[in-house]
Amino acid sequence: MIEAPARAYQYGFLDEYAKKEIRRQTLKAVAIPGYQVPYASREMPLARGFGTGGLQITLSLLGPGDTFKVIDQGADDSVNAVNLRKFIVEACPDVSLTTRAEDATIIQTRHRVPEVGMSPGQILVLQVPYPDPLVVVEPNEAKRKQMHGEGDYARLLVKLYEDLVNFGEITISHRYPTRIHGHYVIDPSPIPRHDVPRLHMADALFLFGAGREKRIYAVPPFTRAEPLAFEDVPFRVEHFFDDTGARRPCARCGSRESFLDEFLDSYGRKQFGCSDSDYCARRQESRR
Amino acid sequence: MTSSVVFEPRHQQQAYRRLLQAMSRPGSVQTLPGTSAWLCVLATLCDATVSLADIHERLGAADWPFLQARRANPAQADFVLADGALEPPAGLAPRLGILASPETGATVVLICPSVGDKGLLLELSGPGIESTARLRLAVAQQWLARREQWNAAFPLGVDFIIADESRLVGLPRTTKVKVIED
Ligand SMILES: [Zn+2]
Repeated sequence: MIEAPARAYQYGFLDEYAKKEIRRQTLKAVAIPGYQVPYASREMPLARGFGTGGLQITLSLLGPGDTFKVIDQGADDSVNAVNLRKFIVEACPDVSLTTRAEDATIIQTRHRVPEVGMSPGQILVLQVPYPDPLVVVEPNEAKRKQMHGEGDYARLLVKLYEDLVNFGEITISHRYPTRIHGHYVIDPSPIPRHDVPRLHMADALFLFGAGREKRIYAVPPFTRAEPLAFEDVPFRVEHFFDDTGARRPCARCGSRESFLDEFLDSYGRKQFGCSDSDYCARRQESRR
Repeated sequence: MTSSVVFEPRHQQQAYRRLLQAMSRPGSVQTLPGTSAWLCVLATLCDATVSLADIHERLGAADWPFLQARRANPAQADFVLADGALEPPAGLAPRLGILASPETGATVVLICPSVGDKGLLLELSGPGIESTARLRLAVAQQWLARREQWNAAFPLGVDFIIADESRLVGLPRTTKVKVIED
């Protein structure tokens, strides 16, 4: 019987060549804000469903002295987030873990930017399922690359305008095309519109990883990030108004600023609560 | 071998984070642990899949096998290493990339006598800078003029990493540079 040789322990799981390639491409992504840099995505042993693009970026970054937080749809304690934390403990044993956004040096996230916003110097790694916003108007990749290079988004704007006419608002819900540094339009990943303005002129670095599509892109600190909009229909975030037109509060912590998810309470009634579980838990604690 | 520590993965992880800071926040001076920051930059980014042009022959014969990079002429190389205190050679034309793949624009690594406290006084603006930033850099001014030509048509262009023995700064292609005192 032939046994596969045991895999030698490798800090950060990825071999050094894989890390180097991701590092080179990430630096290019930062130098060309919003451009989707191709890279050779590796097979990852874990976090299926969570996606592997963000994880590979994270592993290329982490080292001693880092404090790491994982968010999955706003929660630190989902199965995906817990599995990812366990994996990081094995792969990078000298990295500290936290749930407090402001204590983290690096945050890996799916579908949310922390409610408290980003602190100076932090890196937010976003998991991206579909990196290219032009896919909805152009199936040919070579043509899309040319359109991106020329900053030609006329057809995308037409598509958005058609949505506007048909549905009354721009409805690419949770994937709102956003123009970076006045040139490239990115898919900011499925974050709510509530989070999109947080990319604009932030004092933090945003890195986006798409594992299946093998792309890395970035929004550097202090960089313009402008959601596509039309003069007569400006960009706006989700409103969360009740029938009387008042802003709904979180049923748990009372916040009227946070992004809300629907949930059923123990009586089966529909309620609204913060999607960011750490933000909400700490507000509840401080109210006690 | 100038400094073998630069080839250790732990060292390179720390160096990469400083490089990422430098590229994300142009003009911010990053200090690298150990010596020979410019060699550390190359060691962190090079392997057998990339090509390197050493136009002023600053690398020793012993450095090449560790860097693993293939030698290339400056018009074709992924990385161009040069002495920033010397004028750029006439006709130097690093790769600018193409519209569909602007990331193939070269990375120019300039070795400088001093980063952050001597030489030209520059005012920088662009992504990564809140309004403007100031930076002192001991480079031949001609490099900045050539850089401006190479970066005239975004997204095409070249990205600069400028390093002395212990410090480095990044000037990605998006950074506008104005010389305010020479
Ligand atoms: Zn709440």
